[in-house]
Amino acid sequence: MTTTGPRAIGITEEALRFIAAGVIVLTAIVLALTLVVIIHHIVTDRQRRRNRARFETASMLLAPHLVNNSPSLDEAVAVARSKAGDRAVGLVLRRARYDLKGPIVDRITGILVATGEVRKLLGEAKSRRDWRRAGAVRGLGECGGAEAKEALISAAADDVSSEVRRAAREGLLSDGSGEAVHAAVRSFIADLPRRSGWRRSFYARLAAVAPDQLTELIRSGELKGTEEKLAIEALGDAGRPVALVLAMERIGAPEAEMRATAVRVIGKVATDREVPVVIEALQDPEWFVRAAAARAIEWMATLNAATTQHNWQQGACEKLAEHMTDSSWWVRANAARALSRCGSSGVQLLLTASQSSDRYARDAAIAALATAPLQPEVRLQVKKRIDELMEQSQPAIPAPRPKELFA
Amino acid sequence: MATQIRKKKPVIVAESNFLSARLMMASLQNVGFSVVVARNGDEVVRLIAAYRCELLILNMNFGRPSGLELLRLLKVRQETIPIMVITAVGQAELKAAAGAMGVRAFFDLPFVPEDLCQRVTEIVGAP
Repeated sequence: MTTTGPRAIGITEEALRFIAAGVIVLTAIVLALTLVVIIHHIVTDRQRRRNRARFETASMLLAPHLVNNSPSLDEAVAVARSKAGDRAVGLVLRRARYDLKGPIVDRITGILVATGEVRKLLGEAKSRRDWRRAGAVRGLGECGGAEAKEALISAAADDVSSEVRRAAREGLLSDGSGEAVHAAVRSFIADLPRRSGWRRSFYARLAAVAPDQLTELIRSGELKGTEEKLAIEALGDAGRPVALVLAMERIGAPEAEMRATAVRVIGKVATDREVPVVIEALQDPEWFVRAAAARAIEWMATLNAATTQHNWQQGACEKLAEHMTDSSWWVRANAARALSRCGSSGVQLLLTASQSSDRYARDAAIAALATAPLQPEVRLQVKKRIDELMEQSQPAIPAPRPKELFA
Repeated sequence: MATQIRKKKPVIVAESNFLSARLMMASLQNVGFSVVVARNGDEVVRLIAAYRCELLILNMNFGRPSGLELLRLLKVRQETIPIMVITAVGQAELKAAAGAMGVRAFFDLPFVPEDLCQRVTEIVGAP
């Protein structure tokens, strides 16, 4: 007779009982943990909803007083505090300080100081936990005021956490005063953030708040290589006229990346006068400078549409059309997009290119036409051409239909 | 979320932040505009279809869908409502992209309420 079951592999009954008990205990633990997670989720979700409702109540109570800078704002704040709580009112006031500008901003700061919001954040800024300090410092930046500024300057210079220093710099830039901006710039130079996105964000804020300081920083030569390019681009993005001066100085730079940056910046802030410079950059030996020049023409045609006569567009169109056969696909694509923004003559050139035997030029033209704002009759023409091409691209041997597959 | 809709000059504010929407709404209502607030893409489309709105004020940081995606959607639907786009300072590329979608009016954050009203009046006329 052969033995079957656990005994066959040498497991005793005691061991079996032990395993069964273990399985039961583990199952109970998993169930208990699942229950805890579900309860936690329900509680936090309810809390989140309640907080949102409080924020909305405070917003509704305060918004009309904030936009009018009304004398009864203080009373409205008192009512909102009693109905929605201090936390919601603090959040609303801090956010309003971000959305609005003018004399109301200083008034909001005064209220935030008077209601104790700043004092509370100053206390939290001394926490041992990095994330709590970073949150508090960010909040202080949103509050503004002398006390907050002092704490931010100290945090930007001395805090051990890079996240807190970064938050402090943001707050200092929001403050915008000479002393605050200077402290933010010093902290930034001493401790350049690792990620280019963070550096880009700092330059963008600096360009918006204190373009003169940023220009001074660029001219001082403290920013080298990529930093200089990011800084000039930030000034261009903010539409600062000084960006044009800096870009024109660098348009003939030996470094191709700097030339590309200069062309991009010119595209964002140029007037019709600088168009020849951008058109000339289309002949640059480096493909990415040519691509930047084509993109710059697109921006010039789009951003300045309401203010300029676009007398330059005809000349630009001819040059761009030449680049529909550029050796780089990126230049071809950008040239096609730029043509699509250059009015009817550009669209006409694209329609011609869409019939071209050069597949690269043809595809770039069609892709640009597909996204361009076109007249209905031109749109029909483009659609017809796309249909033709779709027909031509049918495979020689059609795919078998399902019935044929299973016949 | 629709509020106080009158027959004259209704304006849609497409803004996902509750307070920002309230601030814009209060500013415009002060000078007599009717305002409806849309907090997501579906609401924008629904409100445009439901009311003869004269202007859509769209924050480019709209959330989901993004301002750009929403502009694309409106273009596909061939909506003819004038659009004023709100951007933060330093969003030149976003402005260019919006410009390429046919937007001609831009407004920067942070804003002074009076400037917002003036800009809207320039586009749609006095309320």
